[in-house]
Amino acid sequence: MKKKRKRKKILWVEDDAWAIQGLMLPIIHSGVEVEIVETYTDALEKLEIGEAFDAFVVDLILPLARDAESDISTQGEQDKYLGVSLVKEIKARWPEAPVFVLTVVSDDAVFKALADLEVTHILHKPILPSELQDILLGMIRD
Amino acid sequence: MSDLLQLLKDFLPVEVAVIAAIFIYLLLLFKGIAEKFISIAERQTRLAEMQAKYLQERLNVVEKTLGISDRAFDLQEKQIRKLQEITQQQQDELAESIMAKQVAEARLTEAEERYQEAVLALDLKAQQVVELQAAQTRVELTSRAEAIARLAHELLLPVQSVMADADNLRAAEKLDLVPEERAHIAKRIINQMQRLALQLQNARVSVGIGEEEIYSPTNFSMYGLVQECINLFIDEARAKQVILQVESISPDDSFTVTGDKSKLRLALCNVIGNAVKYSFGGTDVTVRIERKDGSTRVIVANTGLGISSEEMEKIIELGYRVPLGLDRSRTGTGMGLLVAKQIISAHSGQLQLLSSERTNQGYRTVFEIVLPSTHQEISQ
Repeated sequence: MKKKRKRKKILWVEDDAWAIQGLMLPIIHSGVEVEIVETYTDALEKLEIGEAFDAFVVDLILPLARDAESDISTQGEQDKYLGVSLVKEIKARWPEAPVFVLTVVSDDAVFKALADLEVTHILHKPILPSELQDILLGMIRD
Repeated sequence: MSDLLQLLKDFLPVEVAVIAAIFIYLLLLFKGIAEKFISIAERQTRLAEMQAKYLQERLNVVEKTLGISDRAFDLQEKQIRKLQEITQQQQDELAESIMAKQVAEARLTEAEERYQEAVLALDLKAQQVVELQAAQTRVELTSRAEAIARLAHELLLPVQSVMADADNLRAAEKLDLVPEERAHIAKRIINQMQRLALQLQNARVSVGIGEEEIYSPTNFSMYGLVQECINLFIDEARAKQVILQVESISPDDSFTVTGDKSKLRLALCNVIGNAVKYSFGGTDVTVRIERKDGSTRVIVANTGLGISSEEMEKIIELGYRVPLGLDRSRTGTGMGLLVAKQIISAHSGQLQLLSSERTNQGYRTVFEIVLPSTHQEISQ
C-alpha cells in the first residue's frame, strides 16, 4: 500500500501577519500548510512542544508577547531583533530545517549573526509572492 | 634912673639911695633880660609845642598809617592764610584726585581684565552656542533621518501587501483564484492603498506641524466618517481576531458636524487605526458616538498594549513625537496621535486619553474625541 504523502508545513513568524496574506496565498494554494504566530513567545511555545515543521519563515522585528504582561518598556535593546534569537532557538532544535528570514532590516551585524547561524535565505521585503514561492518551495520540495 | 634916685633921696641918705637905685636898676635890667629869656623860652616852648603837636600829628598819621598797615597786614595775612588754606585744600584735592585717578586706573585695569574675561567668556559662549546649534542640527537631522527610516519601514508594509496582491492577481489563473477571491484581493489592494495614502498624509501634516494648514469646512455625518475608518481597518481587525464595531446610542442620528472632512477622516482613522494596531487577539475595539453638552463625542476603546499617562502626556499635551526607531511591540511612525491632536484642536475640539486600565486581557484604553456640534471657525 502506497504511503500517503505528508503535507508540508511551515511555521511563519510575523507580527503583521494580516499584511502578508497575499505573500502566503500562492504557498497555501500550492498545498503547503502555513501556521502563523505573531510573537517570539508564541513561536517558542511551538518549538518547545516539539511540533515538526518543514521550514520556518521568521521576521526579525518581533514583539516578545501580546498579553497584559508585555510592555514595550520591559523589552530592552538586546531584544531589538528577537527574530535572531528565535532563529538561534530553531537551529538548536532543528539544525537541518530551512530557515528563511523575511525582513525590512538592513543591518550588517545582524546579517553576520544570521550567516553564523547558517540561515538558508535572507529575503528582503517587499518581495513578490511568486518569487518567494519559488525560493521557499524549492527548498522543501521532496 | 635919676628919677628913682631923686625919689630915694627923699627918703634915704644919698649913698644908700644911690646904691639902692643901682640895685633896683640892675634888678629891673635883669628882669627885662629875664623877660626876654622867658619870651624866648615861651616862643621856644610854643615852637616846641608846635613841633610836638606836629610830631604828634605826624605820629598820629604814622599811627594811623601803621593802623591801616596793620589792618592791611592782617588782611594780607588773612588772605595769605586763606590762600594757604586754599592751596592746602587744592593740594588735598589734588592728592585725592591723584588717589582717585589711581583708583580709577586700577578699576579701569580691572574692568579691562573683566572685559577681556567677558570677551573670552562670550567667545566661549558663542562657541558653545555654535556647538549647541550644530548638535541641535545633528539631532534634528538624526530625528528626521529616523523619521524617514521609520516612515519608509511603515510604508513597506502596505507596499508589500499591494505588490503581493497585484502579483497574485496577475497569476490568478495559475493560482485558480475564483472571482470572489479576486474581488477580495482587489478590495485589499484598494484598502492598502488608502492606508498608504493615510500614512503619507500623516507624514505631510506632521512635517508641516506649526505651519498653516488649509481647512475646507463642510457639513458631514460623523457616523459615516466612523464607518469609513472602520471599513479601512476591518480586515486587519479580523485577521487579528479583533472585533471592530461602532455603537451609537441614537441610531437615527447621523451626527452632523462641521469641519474639514478629509482632515477629520485622517484624525479619526489615526485613532481607530491605533486602537486596532495595538489590540490583542480575541478582544474588541468599540467606537461609540454620542451627543453631549452641545458636542459630538467619539469614544474609541480597545484592549491591548495600552499607553502610559507619561507617554500620552508627551504625545498629546506636549506635542512630543514618540522616539523613533524600530520597536518590536509598537510599529508605527508615532505621528498618528500627534497629527490627530493637531487636526482636532484646529476644529476647536479635544483629543484626550480617558483611561488605560489593566484588565485580564490587556490594557483597556479609552480615547475620546470631542467636536463642537455647531459650526465653529477653524483655527489655522
